[in-house]
Amino acid sequence: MSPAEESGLRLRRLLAMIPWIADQAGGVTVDELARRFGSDTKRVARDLELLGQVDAAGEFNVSMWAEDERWFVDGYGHLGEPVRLTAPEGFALVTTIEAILAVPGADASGPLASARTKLRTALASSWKPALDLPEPEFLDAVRQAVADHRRLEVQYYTASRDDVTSRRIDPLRCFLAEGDWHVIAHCHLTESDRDFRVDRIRALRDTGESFEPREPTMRTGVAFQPAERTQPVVLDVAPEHWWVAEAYPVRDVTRGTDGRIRLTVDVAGPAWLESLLLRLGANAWVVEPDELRTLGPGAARRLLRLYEG
Amino acid sequence: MSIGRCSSRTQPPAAFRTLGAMEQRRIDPLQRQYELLLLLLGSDSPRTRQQIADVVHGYPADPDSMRKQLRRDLDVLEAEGVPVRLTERDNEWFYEVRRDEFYLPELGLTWEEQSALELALTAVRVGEGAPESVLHKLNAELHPSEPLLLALPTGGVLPVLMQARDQRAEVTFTYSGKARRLGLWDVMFQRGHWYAVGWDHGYSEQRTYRADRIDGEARIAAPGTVQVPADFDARTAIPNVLQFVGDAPVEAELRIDAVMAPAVPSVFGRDATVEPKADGAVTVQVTVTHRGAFRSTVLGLLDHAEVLGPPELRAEMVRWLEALAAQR
Repeated sequence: MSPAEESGLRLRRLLAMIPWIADQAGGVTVDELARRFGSDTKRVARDLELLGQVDAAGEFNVSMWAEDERWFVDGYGHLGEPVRLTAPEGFALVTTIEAILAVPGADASGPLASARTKLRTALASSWKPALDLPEPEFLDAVRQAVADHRRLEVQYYTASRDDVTSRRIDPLRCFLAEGDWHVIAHCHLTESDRDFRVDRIRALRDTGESFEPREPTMRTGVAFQPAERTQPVVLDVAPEHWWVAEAYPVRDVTRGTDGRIRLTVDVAGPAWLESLLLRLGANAWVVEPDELRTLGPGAARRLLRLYEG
Repeated sequence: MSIGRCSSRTQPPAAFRTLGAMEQRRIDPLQRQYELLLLLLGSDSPRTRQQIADVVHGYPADPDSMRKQLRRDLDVLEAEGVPVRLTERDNEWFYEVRRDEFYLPELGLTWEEQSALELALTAVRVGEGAPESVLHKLNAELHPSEPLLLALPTGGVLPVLMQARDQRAEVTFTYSGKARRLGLWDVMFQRGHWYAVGWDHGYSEQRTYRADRIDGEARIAAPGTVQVPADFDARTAIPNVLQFVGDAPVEAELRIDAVMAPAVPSVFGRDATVEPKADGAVTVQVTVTHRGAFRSTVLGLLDHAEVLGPPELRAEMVRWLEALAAQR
């Protein structure tokens, strides 16, 4: 963190703390401040003591003091009220509200919509981000099943294996991350919690059964869950395929003297690797493991059969 | 516990002003910036640099050094949302923070609105999540028992783009190593990414830029000059990857089997023509101007997609596959 960022962080915390202290009639301890404002007590105490030394001329008009280990601020002086939102804060707030209102089924004239109007006035901003959220075919049914704790039977396409399987799932959480809707559900086929992409559900049926709701064992709000079993695959790719290192979680990226890029990809299933190798074409090679060196050419020969005749 | 009270004293004692370099080294930047803010906020009229130096501790005596240090401090204040006004009169700069621009106005939220806002802040994570400072300023609490619904990415330039859109301004930035000047029409989120779209003055045409690929900072220019065309529709502004600028347009026809048919709208875009078949498969007709992207899209569907025509596109696909099949 640069000195300017450090200064900004401390000033931001201060501008948030002072109005809050002013609002607490009985004052607050340093511990309470540290907990609420996410800092350590030493840092908070140091900053407050520092401000206690500020040479406050009459025009500064801020009174803050400590009594019996509790800090007080005179709310009638300057800084006794919250300050305007910064541009990043405003962006986060506006996006949050608009995102909720963009979700299918949101109440466009409810209390959040009226709060939006008041906040826009306060922020002096009329910006409304164009949020194009996907609406996969079974999204409503999945969200309803999460809300009602209804067990579903789904036909699900697994990209890593290029396979459609029938499963009974207990949907626990549904969320959108990086542009795709996911549902974390207990899968009765694998007897574990799994992350399913809603757009990969090919068919869905309510079983008529319900389940006991509980917290999922997987993280929500992330687009990629680490697969339980992956295989590290070392690839050499031509320089024009540098995008692979940007598009996928790869490691050990090195550039050879001939310009080739060597990288290691953790592969969850052969179909995903086939797909990648087909797209890279003849200018990518599996280096390790040996048994996968012919995967790309083999997939190409298989697809060529579609074009025979 | 000692009582550290800072309250009224009309003038700083002379001794404070004569400590010189020793004092300057000892003054914590937070104290200097805090005093600067309080001085500007508490003043009923704009202050000159000299007036600031007379009251706020820690500024160098040398005028040029003082000016630079003051600029750095003002940058910190402005980054934290403090609206500092600068005016020039008779070759003298004046600095001012107006109280009505500094404080968050009374929002007047009802209980239901405050509750709905808190639920929204709980359900949506923009980047790392709602900044603590937003919660503090709105006196809002998250609802830990409520689940997360949406996780959206963010990025350093997005707040600037939002301000530019509000100000009907241009933005300047570097993209792929090249300086750009964009009359900003809108900022949109689609397919997991944020985009800025508008009139590119360098190319003299409508252009779309992915916000997370903008190098470094974006800057606002020429506020109040941008007119968004009446027929502009943000939802259709971002072309499907198949329609990126590149090759001569060609109408491609494909067969997609029943397994991947449901994915056709998201893969080939809203403009694709889809004809269902009895076996659950579909034929798709789509305009292609970027053949590399088209090939990659089709091959990403593995055995589920076949290029039916035109013949040269089908032949290209065969040549690509034959080259890979021959790999040793």
